[in-house]
Amino acid sequence: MAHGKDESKEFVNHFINLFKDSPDSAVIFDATSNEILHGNNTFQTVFGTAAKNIKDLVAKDDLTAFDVFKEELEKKSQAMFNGRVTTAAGAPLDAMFRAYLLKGKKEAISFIIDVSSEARKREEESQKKWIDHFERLFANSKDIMNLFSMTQRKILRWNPQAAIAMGYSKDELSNVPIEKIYPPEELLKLGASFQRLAAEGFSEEKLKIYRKGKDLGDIWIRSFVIQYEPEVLCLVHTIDITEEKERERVLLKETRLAALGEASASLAHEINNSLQSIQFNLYLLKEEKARLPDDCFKRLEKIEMNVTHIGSVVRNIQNYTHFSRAGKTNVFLSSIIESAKQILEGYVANRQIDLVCDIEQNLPPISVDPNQIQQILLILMKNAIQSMISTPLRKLLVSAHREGDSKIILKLTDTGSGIPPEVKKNLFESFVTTKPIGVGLGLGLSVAKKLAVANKLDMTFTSEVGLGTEFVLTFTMESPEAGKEEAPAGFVLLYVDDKDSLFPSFESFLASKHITVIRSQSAKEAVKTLVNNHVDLVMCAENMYPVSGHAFLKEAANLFSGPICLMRDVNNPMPTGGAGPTEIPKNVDTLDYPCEVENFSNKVNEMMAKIKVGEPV
Amino acid sequence: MNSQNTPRSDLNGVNILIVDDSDELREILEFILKSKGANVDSARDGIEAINKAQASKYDIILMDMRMPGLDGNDTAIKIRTKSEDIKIIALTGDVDGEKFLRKESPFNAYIAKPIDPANLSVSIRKTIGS
Repeated sequence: MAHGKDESKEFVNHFINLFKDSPDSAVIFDATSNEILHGNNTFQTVFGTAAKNIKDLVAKDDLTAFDVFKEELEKKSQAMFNGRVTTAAGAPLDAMFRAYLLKGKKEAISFIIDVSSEARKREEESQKKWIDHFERLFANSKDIMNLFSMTQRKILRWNPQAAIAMGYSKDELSNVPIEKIYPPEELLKLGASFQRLAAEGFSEEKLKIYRKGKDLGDIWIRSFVIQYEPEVLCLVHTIDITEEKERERVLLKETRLAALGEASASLAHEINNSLQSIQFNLYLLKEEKARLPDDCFKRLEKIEMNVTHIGSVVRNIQNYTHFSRAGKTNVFLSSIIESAKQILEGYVANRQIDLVCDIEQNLPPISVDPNQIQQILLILMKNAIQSMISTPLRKLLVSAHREGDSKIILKLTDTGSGIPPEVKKNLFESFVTTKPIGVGLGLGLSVAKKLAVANKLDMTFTSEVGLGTEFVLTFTMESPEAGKEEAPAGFVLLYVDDKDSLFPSFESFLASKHITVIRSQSAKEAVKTLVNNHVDLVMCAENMYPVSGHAFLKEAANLFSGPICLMRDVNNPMPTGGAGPTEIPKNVDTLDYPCEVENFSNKVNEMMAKIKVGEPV
Repeated sequence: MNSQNTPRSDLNGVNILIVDDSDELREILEFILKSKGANVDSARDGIEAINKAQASKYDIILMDMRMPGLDGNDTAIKIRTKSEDIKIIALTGDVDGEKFLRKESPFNAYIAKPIDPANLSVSIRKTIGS
């Protein structure tokens, strides 16, 4: 044993002399305890003279790898390990350990080679190559691109479009932390996506991102690995799908609403009929008050209350899903406000509300659907009144004033409970309400908003919890230029055709003349339109199924005395004689069609001229 | 609302035609109106209503809007072309009741469904008087 130890010592001294002046760190350590026995000059410079144990030099994250390295060293007498170590100055250093067991297998010698500068150099070179490449390729791309280092977990470059799309300046974008771009839950998804990217070389994900100064946006992000060594680099292709998503969302909502509308109309009819029967029977029972015990009568009253409530719920749902097209006419806002006030008269009095109107004198007329505007007012006024039920001050101010030449501002200001901030954000969405359960469904304001949009008026609000709420409706009057058109605005044309093909080409002409068009797809529908709407002129296709234009003319003669034009299908003329009465009355114009827009517009102008010169209408 | 305020005979001698496809509603409405002293006749569809309106003279017609075949609106238009002075009230579940009051509408008034029976005779009286 003693001899062997001496031999080993001699061997160690040999190595010490050999590597004394090596530019790499060389260290001899106890292969069992990792105790440092000797370090050469370079080692002492880098790791200090105080270093006692080689394992202490290794960074925490690499300790497991170090243990593996030691096992291998024991088994094979030599081993290699790449890891991070800490220098005497406390700086991290990427190092490569090459170790050999010395004779006697007690001590080991290891060279600790600093690879960091070299690795960095190689990485830098490859990065530079890719960055050049990236900048050249994607300078003009309309999609958002970035070059991402998975090794460094850092975005190296954005293309110019990225900054534009995300609302940052170019310099800002390169310094934005990733948390500012992605919401937390999206970061998790992104993490999972990167794991797939590392494993498979490709990944894609649909995510939400914050865009500076804008709402959350939607993106579709697809990443490819373009280089694995020396550093893992990825190309990230991002497509802004915000608008597409929004369209999808709106479409889905509209589809659902339409389905709900259809279902609710027949549902409401059924429910109403049953309710009606219950209500009639209740009424008859209550008439027998004298013969009923007192408590029975009270129960009947409770049933009646609930029947009334079901009725109002059904009505709310009908209101929500029922949107007739805005039939615009020129009306005075003051008269709409006055009639809304009258409808709510009892409602206001019962709740001791101080309703004050401040309407500027001589406001010009506005072009809106008066029924729909009245509905908006009723919704807003009822909401205001309901919000003031438990407040000490109960004042609702309705004011209307001109602003500039083209605007009328209508304000409804209440002293109610106000709208909490968390509700404000989606106040106009359906089923959002601050009212107690049973008082409201949360449909009113979403109806009001829809009607406002349909009538092209702006609706905003401000609200302070405990102080009250103010809704502002802005009516924009059409510019005086539009009024100079030769045809007076507000003509209503009824266009009757069971085919869709021709109308679109006439549409822009009619719009340019400010003619409101009501379309009917059948004679039957057209008769109803004549009954329920004001119509100035009628254009009707001759050849329609099942009821022809001729039959329509007969029906219409009792209902309408304005100019009518029969559009005769030249490719498909109605059989004359025998088959039916197809003689065209004297007062009815005709137009051969399909025809050019010019012919159509000439005919319409001709008909409008008749109205203007005051021929009997 | 209170039954004491509406005397049972407040529709005494008024001739009413009820048009509704629901047997149950037609019968109960008939019962209520008769109990108020009215002379009540009924029709279960538009055609029957038109025939009855031509054959007899009514002070007022209560017309359900949603009926199979000829609907309330069409029926009212037909009746109106024959007798201009007849009063017709639309019974409707439609939320847009105001349209029944327009100039072109064949109706004189409308009553929203569900109908409050306590207000029924007031509405009928008002319409006849107008």
